[in-house]
Amino acid sequence: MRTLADVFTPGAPSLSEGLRTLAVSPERELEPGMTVRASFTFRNQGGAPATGVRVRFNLPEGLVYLVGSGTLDGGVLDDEQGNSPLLARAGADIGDVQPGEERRIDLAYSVAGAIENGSTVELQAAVTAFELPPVGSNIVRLVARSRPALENALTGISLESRSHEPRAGGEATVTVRVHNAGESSARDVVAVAPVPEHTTYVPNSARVNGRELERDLPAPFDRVHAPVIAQTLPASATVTLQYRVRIDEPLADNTVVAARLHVASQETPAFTVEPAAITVRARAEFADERTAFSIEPASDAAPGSRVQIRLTAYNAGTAAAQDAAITVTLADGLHPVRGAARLDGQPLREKKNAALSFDLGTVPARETVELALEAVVATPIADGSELPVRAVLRWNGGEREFERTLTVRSRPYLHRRRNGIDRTGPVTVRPADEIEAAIAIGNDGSAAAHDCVLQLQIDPALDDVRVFDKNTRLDLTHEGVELGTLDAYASRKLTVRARVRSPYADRSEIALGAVLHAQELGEVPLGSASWRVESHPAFSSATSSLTLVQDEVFRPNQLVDVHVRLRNEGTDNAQNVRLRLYVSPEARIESVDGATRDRSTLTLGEILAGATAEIRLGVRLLRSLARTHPVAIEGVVTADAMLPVQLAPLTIVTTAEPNFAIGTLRTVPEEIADAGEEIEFVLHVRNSGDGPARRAKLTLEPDPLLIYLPNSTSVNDVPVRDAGAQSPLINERGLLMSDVDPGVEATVRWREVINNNAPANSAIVRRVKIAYDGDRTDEIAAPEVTVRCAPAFANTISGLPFGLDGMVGPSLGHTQRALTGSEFVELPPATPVSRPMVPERAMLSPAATGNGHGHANGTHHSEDDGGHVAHAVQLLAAFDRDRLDRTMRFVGEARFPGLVTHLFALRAFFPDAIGGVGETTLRELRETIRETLDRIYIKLRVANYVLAQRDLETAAARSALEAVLASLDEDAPAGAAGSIQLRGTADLDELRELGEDLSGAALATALPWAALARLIPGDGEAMQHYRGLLIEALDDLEEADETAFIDALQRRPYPVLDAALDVVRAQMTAVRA
Amino acid sequence: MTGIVIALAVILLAGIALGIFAWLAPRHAAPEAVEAAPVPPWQSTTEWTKAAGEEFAGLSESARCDLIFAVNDLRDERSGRLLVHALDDPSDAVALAAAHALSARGERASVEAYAQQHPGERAQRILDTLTLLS
Repeated sequence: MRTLADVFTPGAPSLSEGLRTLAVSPERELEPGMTVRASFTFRNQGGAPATGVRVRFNLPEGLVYLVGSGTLDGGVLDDEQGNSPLLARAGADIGDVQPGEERRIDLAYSVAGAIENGSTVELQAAVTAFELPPVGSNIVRLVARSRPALENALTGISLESRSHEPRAGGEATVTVRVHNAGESSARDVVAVAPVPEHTTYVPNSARVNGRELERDLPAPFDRVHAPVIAQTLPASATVTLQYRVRIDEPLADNTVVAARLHVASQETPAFTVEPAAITVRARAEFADERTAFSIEPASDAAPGSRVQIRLTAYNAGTAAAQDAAITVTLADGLHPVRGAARLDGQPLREKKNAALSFDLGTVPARETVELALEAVVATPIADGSELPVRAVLRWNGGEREFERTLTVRSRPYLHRRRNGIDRTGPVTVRPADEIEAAIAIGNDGSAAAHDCVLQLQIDPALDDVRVFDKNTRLDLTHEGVELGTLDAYASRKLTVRARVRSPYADRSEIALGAVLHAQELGEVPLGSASWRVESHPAFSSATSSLTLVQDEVFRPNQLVDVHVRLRNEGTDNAQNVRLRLYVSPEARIESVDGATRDRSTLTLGEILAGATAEIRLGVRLLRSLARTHPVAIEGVVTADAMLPVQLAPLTIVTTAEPNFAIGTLRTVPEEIADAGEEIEFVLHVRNSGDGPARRAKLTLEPDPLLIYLPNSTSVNDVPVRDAGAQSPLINERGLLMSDVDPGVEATVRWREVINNNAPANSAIVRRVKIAYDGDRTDEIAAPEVTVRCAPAFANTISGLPFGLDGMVGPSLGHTQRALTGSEFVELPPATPVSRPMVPERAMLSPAATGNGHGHANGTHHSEDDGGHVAHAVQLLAAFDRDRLDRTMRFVGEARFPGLVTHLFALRAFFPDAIGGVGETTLRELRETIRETLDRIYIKLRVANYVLAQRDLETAAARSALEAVLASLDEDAPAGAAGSIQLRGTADLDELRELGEDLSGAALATALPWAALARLIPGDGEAMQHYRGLLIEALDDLEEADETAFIDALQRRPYPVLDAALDVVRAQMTAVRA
Repeated sequence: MTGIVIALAVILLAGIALGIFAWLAPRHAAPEAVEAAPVPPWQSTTEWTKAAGEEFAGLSESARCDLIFAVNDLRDERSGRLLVHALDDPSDAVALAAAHALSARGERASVEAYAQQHPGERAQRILDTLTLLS
């Protein structure tokens, strides 16, 4: 069974006509643009309702649905996009149709703009339901009536030149367009478009819609009169015929070429189309490359050379050029060669005027005229100069300009003949002489030489080199002189002066070279000038000498340093220099430093010119030197290539004198001698001078403490006669020694006896005066001898020929030297001893609970510690072992800076039972406190966490506390399970007062915590102590606001309170153990 | 005599029947060793805050603690899941707050299960602190 979707499909057979209720207007024919209205009515003829009724219309080709026209009983069925479900495959769902009910479907189509004439359009509707197969309506057949329309504005012919401007010989394109503006196709469209006059068809160029046409024609296109260019030209279609033609050549100017067209088809009679035309221009033309202007050489033309100028004019146009002429314009650097002009190879008549204008006459089309002339490049001229050459070709109706540029290659040129350096003056020079050379520079080139630098090659022998341009001194830098630009054909003469370095080697050759550097030429050698040096060494006594290093008088045997200085004053090095010395016999040369000694000749080898040789001689004066005999040293300098030179003699002034200053006088015994004891004096005296003493007198002052022992004087063990009873030393004449040579030593001895009358501790000082050579006196003293006296009973003294009564006893010895001061021992500074701060109360020994087994004695209460309490509330906290362990661990671990640690202690020791407080009320407070403190405990693990007010207390916690405080009384608390119990009491009145205060206190202040602290059972001394401290600390903060309380909780240290808590913890741990 | 023979026969038949039963009776399959699933490595995350609402993403450590305490007061299933997720918080304090909240809700088993899934020093530290605060 066919479904509604199957019907109206292309190629499917029409549905049988079951309902003849489809009415269409118009009924028979239709034309493009016409509206076709269809109305389909059906009625449920049955007795049951038709459900799921669907209606569908077909949409024939050539018709277009009119949006909004599909209606069901007047109601529009289109969807939002304007599509009608009536034309959909599944049709339009119109719901149920009750028995006897009639439905009407209206639909309108529009005929397409182009529909072939005679084509048939069939319209049919179909209806179906769930219960019914599709039922077709009657088929309405309409015939289309339409015709083509070829004669319209789009049909036409055009003729276009392929070049910018139609010209003879050029191509043009003929384009024929035939447009069908009608509603149906045109058949056998014929276009008569003959090849226009004055043109020739370009073979095989005809195209119809871009497709070659001639293959379908029996003859070439230009031979077919009326070709069919389109078998069928559909409506609104255009066929284009196009072919190319070549415009005849030559052709008269302004010739009109017209293209004509006639069009016809089977349906359309022939009609003429407005022709198209173009006007062809013909003229003379010199624009292509065959007209050329050239110069030869085109570049690098040398000054003075000839340049060929050639202009070839080819009339490439289609008309002759009338009155043609050529005018050539040369640059200033080019001079025309008279008589060299040629036209088509034939010389032209020479004109007196230099105007380079040449008449060519008439130049027919496709004819060539050649003009040639010559020019000479001027000189001098700058290198790289560009010389434009212009030519203008004029003819009747146009002109063309030409221009070529000639590049000149011009260079400077320095000829050897005119450029060089020559010596001025004799060839032989002496050191320090001045030399002179002349440098000639001439530019024979046609261009200037730029950036000229004269580079001198200066011999090392030359100093003070100067360059002059006439009398102007030029700046010589790095042996170069910047000359700047040397113009073409210009010349310069320079003078170089220098001084021969002194000293300088004999027979040396001196050269002074010159090189000219120019930007264009590079390096141009100018040669060199040379001289020969004549030089010799020279010494003089003025600068060469023998001198003493120390200007003093020398003594015999002394080493004298003599400084020899030899200076070569000559201009050449002195070779094989020798110094022959003549030394007095009283001296001899002991050392030579700075030369090689061969006996009395010193060999110095080479001394450079201007150099000085230094020699140090060590000359030893002999001992046998007379006292004031001068020693002379003479020297003669010899060297190669010079005459001997005598140096000024050196006289060494000498002296020699005796000296007895060095000597000793000793006594036997030494230091101490007893009164009456004999003392032997031994004088060792020596002529330590370097000259002999003609006469030396030794004298001794008499000493009253001493008595000379006669005949005891001897010199070098030779007895000396006494002078009376005295030693000759004591005599005014003294002990005389004569001719005492240097180094001679004399030992004089004599003995004396100490007068026994000499007081004890008397000092005996003997001094021997030595006068020699009349004017000098030395003194030699003996060490002091102290007289010691002792009791003497004897009446004789050794050596004394007579007895003497009366003796003086020796003095006693010295006393022990006492300490002059006491030693002071400075102790190191005391080291401060730091002692840990032990809280005073924390030092209290933890007291064990009353029963000693961890069960606190309830008869002792914390408040009792402070005195009698009128009304007390009883507190009880009970711990089993596990809870006590956890509590102690918690107390141990919940340690933070500040008072917050002790809030955790409140959690740890919170009572399990309070007198008067119900279990529920107490549990609620306990849980609230635990939750609050647990959250604080957790949050304090966040780094740098600062407590907030909401962390400390909530309204619920406050209510719970107030409830507890309100229910306190003196009843005994309920029991609590636990093996370890803490019992205590709190002041009931005080707590109630706190409870009343709480109602007006702000949250997160210290007041509630102060109340809670009072609920700790203060069992045991340690706990009582801690409880008291905690209450005191919190009471102190009672007036503090929330911020200050938080600050105390986290920042303020409480060391005493911490220590008290430690004690409690230790005590509780002990109790647990 | 006949009675004895009959009794012996009965005993013999009973023994045979027991043997057949023992031969044919279904046997317990040997329990296969169940290999414990590998413990996934613990990865800290603060993504759990998004479960409470996008506006809660990116809270500070202390603010996450406050969120835990606020969520704990809700006492519903969703908040419970949130607390469990918060155990993965990189902050020990936040994780401890979540564990404490779960424990306070009577869901300490969740904390212990979490500690078993992620054994280590961190989980042990949380459990120890919970015990301390109990």
